[in-house]
Amino acid sequence: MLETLLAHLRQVAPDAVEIDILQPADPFLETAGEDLRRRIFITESMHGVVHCLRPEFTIPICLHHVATPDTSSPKARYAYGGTVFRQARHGTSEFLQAGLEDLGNPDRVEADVACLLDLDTSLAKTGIKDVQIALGDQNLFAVVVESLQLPQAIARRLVRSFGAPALVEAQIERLTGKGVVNNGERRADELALAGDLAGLVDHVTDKMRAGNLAVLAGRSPQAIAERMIDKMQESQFQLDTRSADLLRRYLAMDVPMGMAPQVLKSFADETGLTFGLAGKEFFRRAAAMKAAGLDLSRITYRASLGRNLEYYTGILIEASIGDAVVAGGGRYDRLCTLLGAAESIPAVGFSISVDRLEDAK
Amino acid sequence: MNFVIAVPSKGRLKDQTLGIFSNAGLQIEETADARSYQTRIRGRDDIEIAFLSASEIARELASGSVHMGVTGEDLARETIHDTDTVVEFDLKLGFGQADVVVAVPDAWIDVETMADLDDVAADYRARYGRRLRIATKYWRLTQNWFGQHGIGVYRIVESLGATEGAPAAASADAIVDITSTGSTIRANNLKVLDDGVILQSQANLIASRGASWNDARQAVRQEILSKLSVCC
Repeated sequence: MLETLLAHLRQVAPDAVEIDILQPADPFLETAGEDLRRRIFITESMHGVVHCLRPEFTIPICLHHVATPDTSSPKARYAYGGTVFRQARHGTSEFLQAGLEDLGNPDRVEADVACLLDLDTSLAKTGIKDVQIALGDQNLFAVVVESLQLPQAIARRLVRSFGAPALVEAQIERLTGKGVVNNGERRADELALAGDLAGLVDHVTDKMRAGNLAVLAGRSPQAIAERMIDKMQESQFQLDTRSADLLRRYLAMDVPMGMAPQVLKSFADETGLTFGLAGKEFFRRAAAMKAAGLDLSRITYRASLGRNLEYYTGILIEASIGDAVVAGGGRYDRLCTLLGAAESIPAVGFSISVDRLEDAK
Repeated sequence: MNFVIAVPSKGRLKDQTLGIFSNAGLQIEETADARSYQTRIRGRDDIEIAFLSASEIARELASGSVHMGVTGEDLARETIHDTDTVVEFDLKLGFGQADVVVAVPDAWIDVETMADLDDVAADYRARYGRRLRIATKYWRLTQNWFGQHGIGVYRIVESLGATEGAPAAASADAIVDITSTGSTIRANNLKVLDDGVILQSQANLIASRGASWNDARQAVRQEILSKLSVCC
């Protein structure tokens, strides 16, 4: 099945790339976070360099793309396939993956739709029918949050949790209750209430001196003082029930793709919010999906679908057969910059879990 | 194979373990010579005592090569993956108390909770060009705890001693470490987060689920447990 998938993927994504099984661990831990460490296989060389067995292909391919810039054509489409290694509770730790990465295409709608089409035809090549595809959109959620005009830090926290429904709901719950700053630091509280930034900076600087903390080594007194004032303002903020209701209703949206533009428009009319540029892109993409001949009856828009990783920036894709998720993907325009690219590189792609596909067949 | 109990080989943990066993009428005999690490309980030829370091005891419990052991809950949970499916915590022994805590610099007046730390971690890289660093020797406990609080973007800096000095030495921003009275934390101008107590640990009598058990050995386990329960 891997060969079938790869043969097709290489036709639609012809740029060649060779990804070693042994990879430097740092790029994975820096982007996905420390949490990844317990799910991958880490090994150390005699010189103390930490490596891991390739846990996925996207990050190495982006690293390759960033390291070998082709100035004549910044666009590339890479196909990949092979074994990835993940710690599993039971059974095997080796999994077969195949997929593609579309990097550097500034026409995001075009790239998104091509990606969806390639995923759908790849799955069809293996003789599998009845694949359901769910789509999410990081940008639309960000717009909904923005429309509520929340204090900045609260808004950022909500957007950051997108894709982890329990975390989002816990925040909505907490925000609707009346918050209290229980600081126990009367001096700091007083200064923050008065909005006395200079006073707070002095206060923090004194404390840093007392603790022998280098003022330049990490969080500066200025940054700490600013956040203290923000936090004091936030603690007096309470989310009204209308806004909480709007968030919950938006996140509960799960509709056939053909109906999604209409449902979003009536939601906007009813609530008085405007989806703006993110909405325009969504509607253009929906139209382009139809024009490209994608079977919209098998695609749904699920508003809560997201990833709480900072580098995801747009569309989210999840393909399943019954209850089994057999492929996933999305847009991650911030990934290449996290990996060292000087400028943002548009990136979208997907990964098919070959083992799950075989199980589902 | 005899019934084997692993006991800490040195320090206060050893003395207190010997003390509590002795109070329960289970006299652990002195080893035949000072370099030996094996002995018996007086009058009980069916029970073997193995002196091991506290973290080794956790590993031996995990592998099932000892039936029971005395060690801290912190070390057991740190060393053994899926702890509760591998060992059973039979009895809290009432000594070796220490909390595993998340502590940040006292100067971070805006950080009181894990949610605050999450906020700080989220834009750390954008602001300072690197991830928030946590110094600890408790990899597993830290990863689980931070994971439970939805914090993923940070890096662990391994620290095998004087962890509480890491922020002042600028080798880390915050720490996860053990504290019994909090005085070392305070002395280093750090503070424990309001919801930053990961584990309230103490010495435990722990049974290995994977050791070779039969009815006779289960009876010995129950006997030791009931004798020690009386004095704890």
